[in-house]
Amino acid sequence: MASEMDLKSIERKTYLTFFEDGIADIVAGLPILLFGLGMTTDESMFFIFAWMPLLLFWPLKQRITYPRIGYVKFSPERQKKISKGFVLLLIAGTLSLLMGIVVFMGFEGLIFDLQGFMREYSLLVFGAVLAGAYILIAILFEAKRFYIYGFFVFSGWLTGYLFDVNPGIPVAMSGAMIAIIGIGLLLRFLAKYPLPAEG
Amino acid sequence: MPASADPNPRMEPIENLDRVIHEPARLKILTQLYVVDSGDFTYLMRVTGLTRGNLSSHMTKLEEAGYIKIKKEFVDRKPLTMLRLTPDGRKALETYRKTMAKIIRI
Repeated sequence: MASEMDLKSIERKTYLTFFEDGIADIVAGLPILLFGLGMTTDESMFFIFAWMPLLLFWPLKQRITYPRIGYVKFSPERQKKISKGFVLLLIAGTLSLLMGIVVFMGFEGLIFDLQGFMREYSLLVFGAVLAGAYILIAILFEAKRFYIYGFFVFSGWLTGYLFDVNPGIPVAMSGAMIAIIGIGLLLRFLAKYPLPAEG
Repeated sequence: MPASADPNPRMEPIENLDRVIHEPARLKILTQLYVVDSGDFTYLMRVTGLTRGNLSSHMTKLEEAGYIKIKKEFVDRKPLTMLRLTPDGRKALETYRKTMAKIIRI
């Protein structure tokens, strides 16, 4: 029914407004940037700090987004969808971590010999896993631009595989591109939604 | 001349329109609250384009009609005025939409 569709579009628009701030993009791009820098410089601190930007997501939302566009508790259906998304991401993250451990053990020759395969294809495997995580975000949270980010991320790792360059450079560049888009979105958001006057 | 005491029965839906809802600002508030579980004052000010004073006065009217519930909540230790549609408010908005659909068909 057309009227039902209108209410759905109002709900969807409300939900998507909360993604206009670019914060998700910044915290999704910075880890890739730091990871790429770690690969380029061989500096372990970059790998250690690569996950830190993810911790900034909620504090930034609270300080920047909610004071400007308000706070909403979504409908139970939407909340269920969001919770399901986080659970699936957590599962995907855990599986990736387990896969990383298996790959590491394979490299070390502890369980089976993966060395040959990983020496050849490790960049593509990691690129595909990371790109998969971005595509999962795009599907679960209806954030369409994350499909493009998945493509950026995979392209970065693929470039490192195909060309004779330090693979960290294209990986860092793909992360930087995502973070820069996020910063652009954030600046637009700040201009579009100034803090409401007190009173 | 006195008005004719022969009202057109087809106009009845117009007579039955809920006047609390049939006001653009209040209709906007109820429609926005219909699609979410609850929203705070800042959210409603933004989506309805109402000033703080206007929103407050419409909120009071809707609360008096029993259509919305206003509650102070703490979200991450910050006090927020949260508004939620009551089951009566939800039903009233659905009835209003049906009535308007009938009127449009007259």
